[in-house]
Amino acid sequence: MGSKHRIQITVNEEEYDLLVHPNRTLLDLLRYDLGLTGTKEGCDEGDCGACTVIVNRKVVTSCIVLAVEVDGATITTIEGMQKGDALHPIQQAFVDSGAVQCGFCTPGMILTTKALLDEFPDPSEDDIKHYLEGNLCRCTGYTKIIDAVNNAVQLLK
Amino acid sequence: MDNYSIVGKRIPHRDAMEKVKGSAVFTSDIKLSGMLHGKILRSPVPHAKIRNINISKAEKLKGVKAVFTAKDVPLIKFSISPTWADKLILANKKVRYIGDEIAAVVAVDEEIAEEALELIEVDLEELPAVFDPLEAVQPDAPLVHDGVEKNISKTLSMECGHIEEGFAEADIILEDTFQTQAQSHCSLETHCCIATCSPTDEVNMWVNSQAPHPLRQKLAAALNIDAAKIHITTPVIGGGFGSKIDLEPAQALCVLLAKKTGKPVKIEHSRKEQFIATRMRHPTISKLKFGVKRDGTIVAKQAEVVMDNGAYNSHGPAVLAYHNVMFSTLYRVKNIKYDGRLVYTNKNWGGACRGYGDPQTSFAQEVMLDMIAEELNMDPIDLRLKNANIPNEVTANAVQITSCGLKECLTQARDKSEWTAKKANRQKHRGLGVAAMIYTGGGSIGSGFNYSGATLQMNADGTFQLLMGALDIGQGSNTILTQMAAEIMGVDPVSISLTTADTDTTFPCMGTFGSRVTFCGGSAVTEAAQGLKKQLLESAAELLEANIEDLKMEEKTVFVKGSPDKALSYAEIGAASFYKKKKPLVAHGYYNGPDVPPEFNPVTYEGYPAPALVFGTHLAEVEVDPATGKVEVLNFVAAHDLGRAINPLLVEGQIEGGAAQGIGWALMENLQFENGEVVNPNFHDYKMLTIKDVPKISSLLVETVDPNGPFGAKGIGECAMVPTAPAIVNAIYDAVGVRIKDLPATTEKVFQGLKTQRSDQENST
Amino acid sequence: MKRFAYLRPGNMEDAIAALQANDEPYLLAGGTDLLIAMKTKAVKPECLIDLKGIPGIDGIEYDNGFKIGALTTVRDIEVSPLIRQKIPVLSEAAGTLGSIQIRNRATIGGNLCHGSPAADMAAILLAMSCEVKIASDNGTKTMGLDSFFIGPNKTVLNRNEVLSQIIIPKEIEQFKGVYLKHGPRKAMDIGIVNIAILLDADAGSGFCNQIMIALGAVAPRPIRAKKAEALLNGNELNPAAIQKAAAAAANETNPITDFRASAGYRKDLVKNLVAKGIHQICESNNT
Repeated sequence: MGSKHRIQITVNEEEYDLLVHPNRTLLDLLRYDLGLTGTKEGCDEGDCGACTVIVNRKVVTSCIVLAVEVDGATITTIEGMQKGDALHPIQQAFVDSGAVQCGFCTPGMILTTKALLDEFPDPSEDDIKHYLEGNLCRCTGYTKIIDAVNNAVQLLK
Repeated sequence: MDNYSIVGKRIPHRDAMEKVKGSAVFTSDIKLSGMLHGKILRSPVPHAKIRNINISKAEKLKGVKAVFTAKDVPLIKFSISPTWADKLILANKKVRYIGDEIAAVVAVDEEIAEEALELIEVDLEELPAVFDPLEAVQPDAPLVHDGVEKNISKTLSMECGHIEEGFAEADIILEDTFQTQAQSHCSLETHCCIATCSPTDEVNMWVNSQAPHPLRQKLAAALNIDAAKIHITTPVIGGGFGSKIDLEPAQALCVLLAKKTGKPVKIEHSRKEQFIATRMRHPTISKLKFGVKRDGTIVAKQAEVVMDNGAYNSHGPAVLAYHNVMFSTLYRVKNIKYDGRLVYTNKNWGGACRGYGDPQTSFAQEVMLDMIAEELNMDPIDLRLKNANIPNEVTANAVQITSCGLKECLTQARDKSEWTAKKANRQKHRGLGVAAMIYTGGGSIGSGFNYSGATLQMNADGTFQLLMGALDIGQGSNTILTQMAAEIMGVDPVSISLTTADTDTTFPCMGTFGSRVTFCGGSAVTEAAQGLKKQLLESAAELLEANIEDLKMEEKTVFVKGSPDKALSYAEIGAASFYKKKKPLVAHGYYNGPDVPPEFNPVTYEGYPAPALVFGTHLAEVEVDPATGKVEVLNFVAAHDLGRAINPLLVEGQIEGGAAQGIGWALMENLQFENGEVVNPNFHDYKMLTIKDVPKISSLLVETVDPNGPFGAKGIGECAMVPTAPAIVNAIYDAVGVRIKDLPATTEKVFQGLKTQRSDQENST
Repeated sequence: MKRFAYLRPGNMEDAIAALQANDEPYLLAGGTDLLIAMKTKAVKPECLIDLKGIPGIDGIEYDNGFKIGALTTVRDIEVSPLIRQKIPVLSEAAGTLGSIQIRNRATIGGNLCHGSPAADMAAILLAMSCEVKIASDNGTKTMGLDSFFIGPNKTVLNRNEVLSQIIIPKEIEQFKGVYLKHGPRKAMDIGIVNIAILLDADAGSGFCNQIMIALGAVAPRPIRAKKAEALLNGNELNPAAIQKAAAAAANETNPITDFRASAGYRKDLVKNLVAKGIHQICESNNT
């Protein structure tokens, strides 16, 4: 039961042709098959947002998406944020604002922020909170994460 | 203020760059070739005798490499201290809570290991269980540990002054009971460990431990191997909050299974395991009695405390002692009595959790103070100011205070929050609440150990290499410790290369807990840097043929004052030390303090030699929705006396995060048990606050410059959640007159309070 | 997760055939409930039939009222400009479900078919008197959403049936609505009580032409508070009448006590939130 399926996906502009078992989650595929360990597993039930990646321009919690479901998709993980030597402005804003403590929620936070700013380049504080509501952080109390998003907006202008 | 160029600056986290790229390596990200995966079979019942375990089916499953039960592991009990040891790596004959480790499987992948768990047949004979600590102390209660009478793991009794005389002096006496609930640490990274072990017990371990050096010792004792054979490395750590201090059975199993199979073994907890079988905040029941004069002077205070230990000790006895020392040291009260019992139950066990018993004691005491203020018709801030600790005093329980900014915290928080104006202009359903706190600002020497070591070396090219026993679990110590070294050596902190918490290469450190790294690690690193600076100057004096007193350090150069051309660069001095003088410049710093006086009572912690004490005030403004009981935190001010902020950006981060954790505990975080089973072991039912739930936290940094702290600094990490819950609960009372005495202040409890209030009013009219 | 077979049919006929041909089959839409249930071993499917390969069942159509494909994501409903314009309360209710990551995956049909008494889409759509279209090997049929739910995690769907579309009556667009969800957090919560109210009332007189009240998480399935509605339909909306109707709504519930809340509190919440919701609409009518 459950023979492997072939999927073709593009991850961080790199094309992959893979054989996967249906019970392989996108998270495990990224972390263990593709070695993209920047995507984190915090709860494995879609509740914490640490495994957030962007699939076809939309953020999803990759722990509750099956790899077979994303056949043909274009995916961005944290490793795909930086182009060239300089950090992406969102990454830079997270560093500068003190929005990173233990760093376990950070990749998911940054990818959700990316999707937010792609959709709303000049978000209100309510927009920010509504978009980031599914990314839990235990360290920061979120104050500096909101600062980081606002700083990223300025850097992107 | 002293004029520092690096200390006191808002420098971003040193490790943030790797973390935002996703390239920071956490334990779970490590993949060794041939690595196997372990899983643990846990008890499904709260209390039972193990009659038999049949592993034959599991062993036969393809891909399974080994299955271990108690007969395959050393039956050596462990705990944080050998005196309290009560836990085995795998349960032998008896299980004591739902989650207790029964067996372990190692297989080629996680899926097979999990399947194998289901094939292990365990024959359990269920025993009567006890979940309520008050029932557990009854004579007929089932015993969690045979021979532990009435399930009492530890009793603590202390009286300072004369309690009855104190109450006799009082104009008013108030008594009440306060309860606090279990809180889960919820570091986003779960426990994970990877180990290799040779046939002759050479162990390599990668583990997200907050205390790798003590872990090495505990592992050595539990497995009966030499500590020197164990090499522990800590990858990047995804938060701890106290949950990653203990030796975990999974860590010992990792080593044993690696030895058995000859392969690296990884064991990673699921989120559910994290909730049901790693430590939690001890629930408490505190009966308080306070005696007060009309002018607000507290003349006597008494606490009777029952702390729910759960099935095993972990830090329990020390947490109870801390509960007492923090209760007794806060405020200038002459007559104090404390009676505490630490009680076993058939539930998950408590452990170190941000604040180490202090949030529990703070809740009881600070709500009680609010009730006293009301009774006296006195402003709650004035009442606290009246009784506030002052610098350089010795308290009734014989604790020496050095720096103390409690009064400044209270007054600055009052001003920042516009307390006076808002109290005068009340809005319906809105209220303000305040609470003060005390905590250690530099770990604890209660056990005799409070060590942290550092080595600073100058390389041949004039750069610096810092080796620290202390480790960063996200709080920022890597940044501030290099800031301290850089300030003394006169270089950019980023240029100092840093190795931390590697048991083979760094000096030992007790670990990251007890708000101790800034103080203890900072003391070590400043000592090392001062030592190296001395060596550097001595070397330069010799090479320049000048007097040390005439030398000046600037821009990585040492020169003779007044003759700038008579100079040597750090690189020249470094090269000379290695190649010419053949005496590399290296200095060590090692802290283990303060000294423990003979008067110190290690059971009650009377005469506790605190390295430093920190003080603070939280002030909350809330609005209550009478239709639902829902509490919204509108504004939040957190003032903390932290000696000196080495890095205000990072300090604010600690305060904001601590306050958020405190608000969660105040209003909704609650690890809930039904018949010993955790009913909310996931992030949708265990309510960690989201970005929408946390108000903006205004941090006030009160710098009292402690005489013993490095650059005058004291700790902050745990302190930031200590007084949060009482501040919120006092604000709820101020808003709607509902007094919550058992946490959390759920919407339902607030609502029921309002309902009772309404029916009381109807009955009285 | 245990292993299972994965099928991705290209049309509804094949999906229904697969449903009948396989042992222990489960339909996969967004997977935000199903995959978690599989991980916790609450369900153990032998076969997943992914509906996302079927064309034409994931869109929002407007033709004399909304027709929403069952595979439309909750996020698409939340942000649809047309829905925001014509029935904004549906967008607001959608915005309270899970997180953005969840809403990007979760579907309106999946949320209904999961059959949770606390499902956010269920309460709001029930208040809108929606109909649902069900495809089967005998063709399609349409039924009222009120008849769709049976009990906790149970709907009327048989082994040969798939929910394909949700039809929202056009008349709803003249109603004003509120969706009140009570939980400890402001986000990522399963409601302790969910209240959906749609009201058509005269602005000046406060006369209630028609009201529809649906309640979630207070009975084995999402319910309509029909007695409360009857008390207000065709009557003046004064505070006393609203209070009486709210009390009636609370009486129509049959909540459970669990670790999230007690039954009594849930009933009190229904009473207070139904009244609050009606007042809120009346106030917005008058401004």
